[in-house]
Amino acid sequence: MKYLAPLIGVVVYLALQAAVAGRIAIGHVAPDFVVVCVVLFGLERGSIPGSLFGFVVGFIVDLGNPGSLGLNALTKSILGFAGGKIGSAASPGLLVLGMVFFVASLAHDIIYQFIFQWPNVGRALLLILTDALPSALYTAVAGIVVERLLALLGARVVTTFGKARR
Amino acid sequence: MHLFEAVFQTYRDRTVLVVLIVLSFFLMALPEPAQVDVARSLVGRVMLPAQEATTFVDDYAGVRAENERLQRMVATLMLERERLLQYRDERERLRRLAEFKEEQTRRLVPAEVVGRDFDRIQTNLVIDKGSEEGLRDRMPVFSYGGLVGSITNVFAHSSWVQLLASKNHPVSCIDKRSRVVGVLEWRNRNQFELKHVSGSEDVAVGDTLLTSGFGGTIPKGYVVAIVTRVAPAGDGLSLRIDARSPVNFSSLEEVFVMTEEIPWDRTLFYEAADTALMRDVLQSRGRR
Repeated sequence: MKYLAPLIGVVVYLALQAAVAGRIAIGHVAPDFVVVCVVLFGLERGSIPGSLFGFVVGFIVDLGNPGSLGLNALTKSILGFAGGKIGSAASPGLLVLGMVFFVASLAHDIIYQFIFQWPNVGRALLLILTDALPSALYTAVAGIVVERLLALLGARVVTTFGKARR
Repeated sequence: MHLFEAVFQTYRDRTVLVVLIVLSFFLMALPEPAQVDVARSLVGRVMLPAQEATTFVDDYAGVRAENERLQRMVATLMLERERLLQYRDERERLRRLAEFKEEQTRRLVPAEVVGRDFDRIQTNLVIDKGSEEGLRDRMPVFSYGGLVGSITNVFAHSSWVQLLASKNHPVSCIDKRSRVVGVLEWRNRNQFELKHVSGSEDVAVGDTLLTSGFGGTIPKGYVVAIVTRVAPAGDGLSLRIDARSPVNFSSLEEVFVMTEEIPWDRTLFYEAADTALMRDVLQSRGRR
């Protein structure tokens, strides 16, 4: 179960990203369920599993993106690592978790855009302002909704797990 | 060695992160390897059933509204087609008089978008047609708005389409009005930049950019983008030309794959059943 749960989680979140995110997008602003998945895993399991998990998930995402192989692996391994560090320091409530999703999504997009658009820093900054900020907000809301849905379905979620771990 | 072990034990998590970051940069520096295509196809096959199920539910809910919209479109296109066919016959007669080569056209295979990238910045689509329906690698893909991209991986009943809105899919374009040629490269969303155009060339805001046909992969004369801004480039020698594609790449639901070349002959396009359907649609609209 220790290894099966993350596997199922990855499939579910990737399916959400591939099939749902585009359909609930507001204009060009869509939530990033994969970021939610990586952050939740990091919060729950710690920094080393978090960064490894982020790398693997990011690599899977990269496989559908010829031309930027490794970019998602980089950003998501950093997110998994940071999630693990935060998880070991605090047990997040819903508001804190929402803020974590927001900051994680924004940080992810900042790293992503700067590398993806390099050397055009101006365009990267513009996209961070116009795309990354609203998407981070949407990701935070979507992440909370998903986390609460998982809790309702009886899954072990990070907000209660953090407290139980203490 | 002991020092390395000591450092690893003390900073294990950071060491793992640094290794992963180095590995990521190594991957970024790699040329696109063949293994990635194989792995991508596996991912596509695993995800396809889930994506098809979601698409089915979504389509069922919106089918009535879509049917109305399509009926309107068919009626309009039917009238327009009749007029265009008359022009075409006249043009063909004139071409024969001038002893020009007989013109060819291409068959369009409609396909439904059943999947997308896992990434929020989407550069690929999965469609529900594959080699069994005659699709092959590098065939161009269109929507009602214009060129969408080209096929990169073909399976029996599905294919990957690489969108124009991706970093490594430049397209050679020609200005419809002035016939100036350049290479269109993606910037973000549906924004593009026409490159390699000299500062003395004639390109204006509002000009339509068509496929140039150079390279032989994408046929000539199909809409790709509209010019939105023209300014002198920083080097003082060329133009900085921004363009916008009429295609909304993030909300594509159906596309058309351009397959083999066929001679102009209306019976190849419109089977008897299609003609009867169009007649019924027109009659039903006439009764309302």
